[in-house]
Amino acid sequence: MKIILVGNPNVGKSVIFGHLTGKYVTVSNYPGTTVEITEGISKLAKGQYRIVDTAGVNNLIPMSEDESVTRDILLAGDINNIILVADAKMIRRALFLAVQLVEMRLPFVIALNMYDEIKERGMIINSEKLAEILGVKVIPTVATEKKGIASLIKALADPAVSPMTFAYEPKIEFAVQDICRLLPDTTISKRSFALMWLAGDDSLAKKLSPAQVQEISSIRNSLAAFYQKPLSYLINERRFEKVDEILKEIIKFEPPKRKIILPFLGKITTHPVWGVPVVLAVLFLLYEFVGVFGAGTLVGFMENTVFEQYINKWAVSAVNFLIPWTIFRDFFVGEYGLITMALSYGFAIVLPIVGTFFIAFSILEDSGYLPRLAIMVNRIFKVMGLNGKAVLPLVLGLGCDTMATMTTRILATPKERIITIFLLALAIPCSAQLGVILGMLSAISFSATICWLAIEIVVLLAVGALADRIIPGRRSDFILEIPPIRIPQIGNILIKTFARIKWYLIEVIPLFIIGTAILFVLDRVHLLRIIEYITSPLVQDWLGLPAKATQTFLVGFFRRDYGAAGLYDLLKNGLLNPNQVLVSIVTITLFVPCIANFLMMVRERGLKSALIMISLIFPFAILVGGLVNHALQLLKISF
Amino acid sequence: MELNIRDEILEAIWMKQEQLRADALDLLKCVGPEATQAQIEELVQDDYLTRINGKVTLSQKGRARATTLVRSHRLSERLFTDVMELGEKYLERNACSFEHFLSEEVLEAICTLLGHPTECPHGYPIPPGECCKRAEKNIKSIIVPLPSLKSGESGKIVYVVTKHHHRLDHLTSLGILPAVTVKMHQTFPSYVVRVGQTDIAMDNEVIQDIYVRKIS
Ligand SMILES: Nc1nc2c(ncn2[C@@H]2O[C@H](COP(=O)(O)OP(=O)(O)O)[C@@H](O)[C@H]2O)c(=O)[nH]1
Ligand SMILES: [Zn+2]
Ligand SMILES: [Zn+2]
Ligand SMILES: [Zn+2]
Repeated sequence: MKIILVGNPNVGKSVIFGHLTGKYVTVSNYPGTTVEITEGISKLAKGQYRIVDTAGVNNLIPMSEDESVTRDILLAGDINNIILVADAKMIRRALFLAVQLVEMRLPFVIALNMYDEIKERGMIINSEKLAEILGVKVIPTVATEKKGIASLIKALADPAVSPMTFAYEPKIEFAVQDICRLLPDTTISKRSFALMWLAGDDSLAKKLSPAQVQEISSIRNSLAAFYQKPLSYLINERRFEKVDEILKEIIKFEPPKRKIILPFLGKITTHPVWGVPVVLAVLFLLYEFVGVFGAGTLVGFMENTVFEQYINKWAVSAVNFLIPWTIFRDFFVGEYGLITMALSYGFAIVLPIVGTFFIAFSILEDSGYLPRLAIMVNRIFKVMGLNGKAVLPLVLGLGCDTMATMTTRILATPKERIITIFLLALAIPCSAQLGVILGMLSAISFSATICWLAIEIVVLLAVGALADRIIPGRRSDFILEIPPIRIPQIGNILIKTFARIKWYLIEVIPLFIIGTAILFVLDRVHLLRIIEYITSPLVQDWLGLPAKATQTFLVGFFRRDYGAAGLYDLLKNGLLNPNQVLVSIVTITLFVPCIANFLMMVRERGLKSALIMISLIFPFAILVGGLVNHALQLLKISF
Repeated sequence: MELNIRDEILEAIWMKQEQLRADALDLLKCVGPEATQAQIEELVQDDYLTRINGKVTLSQKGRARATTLVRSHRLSERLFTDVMELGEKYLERNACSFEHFLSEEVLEAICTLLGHPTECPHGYPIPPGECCKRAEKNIKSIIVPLPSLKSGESGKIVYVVTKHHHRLDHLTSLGILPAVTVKMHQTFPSYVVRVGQTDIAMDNEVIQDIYVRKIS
């Protein structure tokens, strides 16, 4: 037996799901982030139920392949009850879904969530009246404060199908009747199926004979011939008409109780003038928190105190005591040792940086700032064949490209996903790498930092613009709902950060270990030397770097930040001059993504696309690095 | 009445030739079954229709008359929906009887008042008149594209004209439909409008498909 959660994007489904199942799922104040279906078990009054959380939709007639998931779940049957989660202040759009559930003749209850946010807007909803009109239960809730959840659970106990009906134009009604005669029995009402079909969703076609399909199509086509507007529009229009009829009876407005500060913040963050300093301030705070506090203070503490003074020492003596063979000792605590390299990099360098980044990102996400950032950057992103929505994966990429690659699913078209994934792999340094890079750059000069940043941005825009020309397909419309600015809840931020860190540890730390093990072997069989030797013309002549830098590039494939950290070592040992630092940093930022990111690219776009992207990125990084090297020499610039 | 039927025949043939998907002869329902062969013959004689290879088609003169008729029919529809806010069921009947009496001056006045619309409420194109050509570039009218609102101004959506089905469905699902009030919040760097209690950010390309009647 299943209970399904449906609703518009960003209405609090995940929070309610969490309350029902005790399971945590990503809660975020950015429309469209729940992309995967989540399931959990809940023990309610009458036994155990499977609770299914679905991706937010604005219409149950899917507008694209991705949106059909929610509809498919509704069609799959075996549904005990449905919770329609509504954002009370946008009740109109929730009722638009409600009338469709009514047509489907599926049982549902409405959770009128975010009830706290309507009062301050002077909106009064008569939920009893709504329940009376629809004939189903309507429960006001404030999910984040767990208000109304108990009543909601109680209301789930006896599922009720709404008895409400409403008709379309006679012409459409006749067509619906004609189609209904041809349809087989399904889990939802034939009428709603016929309407879906008229609106262009012929997902039932495979269950019918070709002759029947043809007949239905001809009914549909001759009906469509009467109107210039698409049938889907006419159907939606009628549904909204019904919704507005209902709304008239249940909603009242009174002068809003003004809450000054949050709407004000919401306004200036997208202001054409003030928005820009806000962006800069946000970036600055991000840098201070992640770059200075995370990458500086915390890393310093973890590396110098925790690992160098304790763990590594203990490990060395423990290994020396337990293992008599040098080669195995080296495997654990040598130059490419499991503990001295993999774990100390993983935990001492990467974890503090990624951890602080995830905290900062969660705050940005929950406050509702990110969609506002999307408004600010939309015009620039259009140059790259993207729209403002891509800001979420790209900013997340500054934390972890692998995770960001996964979230490109929120983008609407394949073209946008490919471009974003490519740009993430090419030009967005992840936070661990960024931490090390900024550390190195600040050791040279401020102008070198600016130079690096300028090269990055030019590459990003130029490659994006080029990709836009080359990759077929279209950019999706930029239509983004802007949630209100909210004060992030500490609890949610902590939970979310931990969930992300956990993901990171499970997915990424093993790759550290594998990567280190491979390096260990390469080093043992002197393959590292050989590769260094073979590639030395490229590295020494073209890039103008010492041969030892090869190793760091190679390492960079296992973790980009490994590579960066390797460069940092070279710098500390005085093997790089400032110009070489810039060249090597430019190269390694652009260089192939880490192995985890590569695997994620394969998962999202298939092996072929991933390999094509890599084979473009590799020469490109070397090319740009070399160009920088020669440009600096020609112009006789030194930092 | 006689004249009206002749007009309707011309109109129907015009629409048929417009190559719309609709069966234009359906529109003869305004006329009823009286539209006889005799009237068609009469029209041929008066040089409104010509016969080519046995098929009846509009002559130059007939085409001009029919264009005016279609234009006035569809403009009347716009007038009834946008300004008088009459429902669908009054549209056809009234537009059909209205169109025959409108002089060119009145037609231009209506067209100008409505902001030289390009589509009737059913989405069919309105043939442009002289006034439209003259006023090609913006004359202050009451129906304007949504992006021409300044921030802080509100408007009531009159129609959404877009060639992209997907875009139309997307906007509709967000509740952007005729008769809904929108408030322009900001116009740069992206447009942000408030529909009900939802703030929606949009691109230039999207928002220019939405037309509103300004509310002052
Ligand atoms: N003020 C308020 N915020 C809520 C409420 N329920 C959820 N939220 C916030 O709304 C945002 C979206 O919630 P989420 O569960 O991710 O929505 P989903 O996309 O529908 O799963 C989050 O920032 C939540 O903290 C509520 O009842 N009141
Ligand atoms: Zn007529
Ligand atoms: Zn019309
Ligand atoms: Zn005109």
